[in-house]
Amino acid sequence: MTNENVGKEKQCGMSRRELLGSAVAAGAFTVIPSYVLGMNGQKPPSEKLNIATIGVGGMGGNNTRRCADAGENIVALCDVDGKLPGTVRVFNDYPDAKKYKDFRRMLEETKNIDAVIVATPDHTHTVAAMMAIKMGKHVYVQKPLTRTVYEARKLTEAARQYKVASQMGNQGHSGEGIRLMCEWIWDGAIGPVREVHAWTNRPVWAQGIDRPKETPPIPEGFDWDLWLGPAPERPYNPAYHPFAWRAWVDFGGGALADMACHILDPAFWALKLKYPISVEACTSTRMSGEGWGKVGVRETYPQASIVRYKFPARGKMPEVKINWYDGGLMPARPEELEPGRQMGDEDGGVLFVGDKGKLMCGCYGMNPRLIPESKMEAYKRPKKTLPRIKDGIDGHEKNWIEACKGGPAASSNFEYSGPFTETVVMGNLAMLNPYKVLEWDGENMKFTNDETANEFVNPPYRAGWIL
Amino acid sequence: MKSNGISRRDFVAGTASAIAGFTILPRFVLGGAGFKPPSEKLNIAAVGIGGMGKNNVKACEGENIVALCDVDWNLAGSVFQNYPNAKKYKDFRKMLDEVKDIDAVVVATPDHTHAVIAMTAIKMGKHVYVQKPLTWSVEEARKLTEAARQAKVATQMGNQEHSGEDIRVLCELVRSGAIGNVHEAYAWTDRPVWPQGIGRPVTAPVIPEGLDWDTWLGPAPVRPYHPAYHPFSWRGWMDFGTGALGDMGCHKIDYIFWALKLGHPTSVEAYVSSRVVKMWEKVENKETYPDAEVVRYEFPARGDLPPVKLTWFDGGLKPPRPAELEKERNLGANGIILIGDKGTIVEGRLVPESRMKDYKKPAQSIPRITGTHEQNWIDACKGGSPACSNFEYAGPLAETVLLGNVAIRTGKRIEWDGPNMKITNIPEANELLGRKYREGWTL
Repeated sequence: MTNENVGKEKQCGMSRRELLGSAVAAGAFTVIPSYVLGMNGQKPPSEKLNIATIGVGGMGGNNTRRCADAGENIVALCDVDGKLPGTVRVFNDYPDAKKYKDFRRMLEETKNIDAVIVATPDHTHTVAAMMAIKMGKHVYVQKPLTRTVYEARKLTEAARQYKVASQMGNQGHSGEGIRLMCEWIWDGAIGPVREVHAWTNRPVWAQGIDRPKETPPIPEGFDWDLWLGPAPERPYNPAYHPFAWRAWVDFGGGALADMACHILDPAFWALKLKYPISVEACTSTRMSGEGWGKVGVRETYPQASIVRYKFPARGKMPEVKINWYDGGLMPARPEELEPGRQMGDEDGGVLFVGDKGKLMCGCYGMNPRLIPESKMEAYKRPKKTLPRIKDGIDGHEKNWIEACKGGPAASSNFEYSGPFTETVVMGNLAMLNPYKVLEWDGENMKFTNDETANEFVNPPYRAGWIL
Repeated sequence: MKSNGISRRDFVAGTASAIAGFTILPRFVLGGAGFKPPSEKLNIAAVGIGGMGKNNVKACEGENIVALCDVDWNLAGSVFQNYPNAKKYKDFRKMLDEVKDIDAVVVATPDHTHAVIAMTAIKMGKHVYVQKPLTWSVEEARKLTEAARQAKVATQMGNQEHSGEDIRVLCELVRSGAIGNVHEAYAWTDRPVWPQGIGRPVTAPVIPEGLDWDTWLGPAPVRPYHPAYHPFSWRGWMDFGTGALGDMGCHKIDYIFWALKLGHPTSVEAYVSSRVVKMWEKVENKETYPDAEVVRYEFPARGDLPPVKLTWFDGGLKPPRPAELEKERNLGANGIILIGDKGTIVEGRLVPESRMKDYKKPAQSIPRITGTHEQNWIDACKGGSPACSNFEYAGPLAETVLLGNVAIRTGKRIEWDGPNMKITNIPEANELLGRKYREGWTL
């Protein structure tokens, strides 16, 4: 143990053992950080985190792989659909990990879990993560952190209370691009920012559709009831699982929740945003062809939308409007952008409009550039003041692992990503209640001028499920 | 009459070749008021009477309805009954050939046949009332406008709000400087109310008895009949209609076009809702217009008036609510917003409403039209002033609207040389300004 590391630990005011000890009576705790052991290079087994993953068929498989590659133990894996090819592959990759369908059983039975990755559909993030947090386990939760505003608030509070290391899976937040944008905007590169436009090519799944009427049999090996979790009951249909759940209001957060947690991240950080004061949305409609009937209203999110947020002034930063476009819609092409040059990248992008210039980047804060390019070339970049995350975007899981082991809080820990998620998913409430300026009291999680929209802040859970 | 420099008889005779024996004398020649002697009446024919055409014909009932034409006699049946003396046709070409005393023609077919019908009539020296949008393509609008000018016939596009009080009040309000210089404008509609963003049907049902499908197709490429196209739902199909923008743009953009004295835009850029059927595969739809569209036009400075950005929304999309609009007020299903450096107008009124109440209305400077939009055209046919939405005005308006569809189909920002009718930055996009007609059809 070096003196330097001891000093760091003291600064934290609490050793990791104490830190976790204060949170739990649940698990016998076996991890000792490397600086305690004073070892370098190869990791002794005791230094490894015991990680479990809930939801392994999609992004969870990648997150698990990154943790395994970092040398941690994958001790348990949980998925409600053991027959899904993605799940089968991940299950096979970790023969020593215990396999579960029910995360509750996994967390109860596997006593040595230190940290949990949650990568289920949005509607079960919170119940899974909350149980883990209350057992003192660190959590890495895929974006969007939660499906509802209320869930994001509660999860953030719980992570704070139980003092666990947390990270939302918006990996761009660990990248170089978002840091450059913060530094440039804080440097005044484009002057005060009053307007931001952000867009995505999502949904790349069908939205604006009606609930299917067919009730095919539930595939073998798939626990539909567990998949539903706290969501209202409905018959199984492949329109929901696998993957297509994002479209459905009861399960996902649509294109906005999927991608704004990446794409709006640079705006949220660089402009020091928290809660908006209002939000307004307009949405594409789809005609059924029977009379003037419309398809999919409030059942799925629309195929295309524009969401307009307004944020109050913050310190010296003026009021700012953030406009979100999805489903093929985009902001006007800025005249500063050279002909033939792509706006953002294939996933989407952000355009910051400042009093003195414009700054554009792609999804995940990638490739930030002042436009036109001549302005970028002429710009004298400020000193890099924000700490960098090792391996950038690819180090997002490792950044969390370090936090779990007593390092600094992870880059997108819930103190940041909780309020950020609240703001993102609040936009969905406007999408479900379009064409009105909904005034938002962020601290109290409610619209002050629309009771109907408030119904979606915290819709009730199915019997048997609580937060 | 002398002041016109040309009598109506000369006027028409000079262009209408030797076709029709001409029998109409304008009211001011006869000096009569009130009762119309038969000789004063126009002989009107209508093509496409199952939809708006029915209303247009009704508004022309004071004249002689001499011939009616519709490719679908099932749909037209009840209208035929109302005019037992009118000759009935399925093919407009036959009608115009056979009925020699037609003075004026109402065209209210689906968009893709407007131009061929109206052009045939114009070239025969007949006055034309053509439903909006004037034509299916930019090129057709340009040619029809030129032909009407050359033939010196009375013309009117069926954007009937152009005859209304509201548009005149708006023009006077804007021109009085109520909101200063206007840099930004919005127009929107809740259309389409018919399905768009869909693929071509695969079934080929039997053509209903009474429908002449081949003539319905007109200059459009051949495809099997399907009820997805006719009746009514043709608007969504690119081969036939012009989508929500074509349907409603000629009404709503009209307000802005006139009030701001717009002409050719310099650029148009469109973004539209995509459709996904299979995961990660966006359907590239060349069959129907999308569910929802945003179209952005840029217009140059005009005299003292500064450049304007005009944005169109449809399919459920709308512009942002102006800050001045009272919270309890909603934007309507269709509407316009003008944003000036001294204020904002929403749907014809200054906002907030208190500003409208305080504003001293400017004096009327634009002549009012007392009768219907159709009557305004009938008066023009009889030698009165040109109809309010004659093609000299309506042609460029329709071109502008239809250019939005070119941007939608191109998927890129297009730069427009209006006088030369040319897209300057994407040469291949110029093909979308018109189309090759089916064999046997020419303009």
